[in-house]
Amino acid sequence: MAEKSFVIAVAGNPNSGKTSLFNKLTGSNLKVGNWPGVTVEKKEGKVVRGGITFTFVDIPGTYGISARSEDERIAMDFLMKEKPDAVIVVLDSANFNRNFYLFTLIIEMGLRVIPVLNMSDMAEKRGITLHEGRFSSIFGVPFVKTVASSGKGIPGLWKVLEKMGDLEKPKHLPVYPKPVEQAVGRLMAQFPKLAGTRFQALAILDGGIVVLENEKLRQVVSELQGEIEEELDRELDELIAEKRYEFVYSIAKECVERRLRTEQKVALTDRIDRFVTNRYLGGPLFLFAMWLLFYLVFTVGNPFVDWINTGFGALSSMVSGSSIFASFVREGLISGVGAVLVFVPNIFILFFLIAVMEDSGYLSRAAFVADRFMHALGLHGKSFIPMLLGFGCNIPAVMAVRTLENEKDRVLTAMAIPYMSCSARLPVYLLFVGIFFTRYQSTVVFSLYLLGIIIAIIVARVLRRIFFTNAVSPLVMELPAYHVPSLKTAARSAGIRTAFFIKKAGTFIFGTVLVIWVLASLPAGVPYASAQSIIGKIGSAVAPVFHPAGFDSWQAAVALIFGFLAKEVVVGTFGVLYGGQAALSSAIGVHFSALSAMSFMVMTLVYIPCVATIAVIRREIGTKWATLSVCISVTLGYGLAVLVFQVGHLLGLG
Amino acid sequence: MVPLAFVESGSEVEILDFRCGGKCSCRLRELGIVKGCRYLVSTGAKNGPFILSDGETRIGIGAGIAMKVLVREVACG
Ligand SMILES: Nc1nc2c(ncn2[C@@H]2O[C@H](COP(=O)(O)OP(=O)(O)O)[C@@H](O)[C@H]2O)c(=O)[nH]1
Ligand SMILES: [Mg+2]
Repeated sequence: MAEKSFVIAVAGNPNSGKTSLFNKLTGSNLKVGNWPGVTVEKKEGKVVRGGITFTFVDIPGTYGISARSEDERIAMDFLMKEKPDAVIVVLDSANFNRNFYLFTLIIEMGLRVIPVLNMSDMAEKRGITLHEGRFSSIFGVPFVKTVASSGKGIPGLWKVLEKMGDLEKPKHLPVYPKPVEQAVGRLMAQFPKLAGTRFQALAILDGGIVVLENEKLRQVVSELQGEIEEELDRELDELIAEKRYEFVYSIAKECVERRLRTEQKVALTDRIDRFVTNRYLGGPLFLFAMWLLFYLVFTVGNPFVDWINTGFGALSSMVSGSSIFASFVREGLISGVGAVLVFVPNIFILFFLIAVMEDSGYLSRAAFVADRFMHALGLHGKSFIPMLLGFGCNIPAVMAVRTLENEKDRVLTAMAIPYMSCSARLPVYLLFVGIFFTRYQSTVVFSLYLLGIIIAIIVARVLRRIFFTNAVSPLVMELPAYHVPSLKTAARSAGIRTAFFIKKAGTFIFGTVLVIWVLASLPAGVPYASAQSIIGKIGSAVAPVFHPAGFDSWQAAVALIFGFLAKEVVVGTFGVLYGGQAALSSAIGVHFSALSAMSFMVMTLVYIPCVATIAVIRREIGTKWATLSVCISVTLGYGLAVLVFQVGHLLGLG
Repeated sequence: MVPLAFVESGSEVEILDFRCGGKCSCRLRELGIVKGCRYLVSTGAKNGPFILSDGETRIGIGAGIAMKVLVREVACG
């Protein structure tokens, strides 16, 4: 084959400019997919140049082997297992030591590298000059200086890429004390599959990688570890890290020139930090930011929501006739799927604003502010981001737990999220408060949200008490510099996530609606959605269960059953079963009282978020937890609904 | 030798030791917090989180770990 093709990973620390560089290299030839088995976005771009096909892969930012979040694990796994033809290592020049530490790990993996000294403008501003020529001669591979955000240096990078075929592996690597080197040599020779590279051998030695499957390897390793630690009288992990840093420092000494600098911007960052993370101001400021977020999500989003609603209304009135198909399209497809799609503007804006906050640098500070009260809840500071997303939609919220660094936090957060009242539950509240609580609408709705939060806290605390005894996991993270967020980038990331939501939710709702419609139409000949239809029979059978909670109409039971599938469907089901939107208010006024409305809303809030969320929980943290989540939420929901009704009844409210 | 948790904003510190587990100290190292390194404590004990800075780089450290990172205050100059 005459044509050559290379897979090139773009790797580096978070915020080193990988995505910017990736975008500059690939232009718009972008394919966004998922990493196998997980939902982290995988961005790939194919470019043909000089007869060579380059496939660039933007891998998640990572600091190294301590990676505990799903994102970072993916990055390291990709490098170690998929073995790309070369890795463009994006290095933040203004932050040399740490970035170069990762570079060291990557060259120890035995990969071919194309190092890019990015952020060279920032470095210059700080009085740091990196001499790419000296790097190149030390390592025997070309180093390229770039400013990824403006595109400077990209042509130079292309020149290197076009000569990919001649690229050597770096010739300069850290050297370790003799016993370590011997052990590495032995591991590499004896276990070429598990410890085939210096990096893997070292990581296995220092405990960074734990290999469970190979008993022999484990034995050899613990033997070697014992020997080395005795001979050198040092902890191995510390020793290895120290040697790597010495390596980094020695390179820095030769290639990095620092002049005295004035630090004006730095002082500004610190002033902002002291303000936003202030012990007293930080919390209120954070709450204000959150309030603003939701305010914008709804005020900016709602006009669009109205348009969409009107659009679907018009669409539905265009479908006339009483054929089975027409009724399916009208009652099923348009009103059911429409019920989900109306939330798209809100969800897009939520994702957009979160991306803006993230890009501005505030979000990571907020994690620290939130850490204080999240700690009290037994959760990690970073957990608040998924929890926050939960108000929009539980599905992406649970997906977001993968950004948390350890199992315990991922599990607890995912278990708590379903109680965050998502936007699909809001229409249910609105329907009922509009009928029964006209004077206290916002108070009632707010108290439901609050109830959800309280339950989330209690569930997380109790589960932690039962299943996890170890200490709260530490919060250490890099805080990116503040800067003016790029609206384009934010819109792009929000677009990708929203599309994902539409796809997931859309297919699901479509299926659900189909089922409801079929069950409501069968057996043939019964009036649509009547008590004689299959759905009516099911509802009537289940309804008595809800008697203690104050609502025992078969329609309510059906609505709740289908609410399992998606809570958007609850209102829609009432609509269908009570004979259309117009008749809805009066029918509900007859079938419910203020008290049973309240217990119904509580039930709606608490029991199972929706099957799609459960499916995502299962995928993220496993079947056991997903099952437990269902059990807890159903029990709690039912219990609380009964409690509300019975207590209210005793107090004479019913 | 004091825990970072007791250091006030504006001091410069040298990292001496970590008293947390292997994973945690590995993480700190990868983030550039290495024994012998000097950092400015840009927000410290009076605020919530501890932020160590070196130029434009900021590493936030939660209160929990700040107790376990042992440092020496270096006279500012
Ligand atoms: N000044 C400057 N900013 C850059 C450079 N490269 C990227 N950025 C900015 O740094 C931020 C992080 O970049 P991004 O590509 O998202 O980094 P990633 O996390 O590694 O993918 C963005 O706001 C970019 O616009 C550069 O060379 N110079
Ligand atoms: Mg990126």
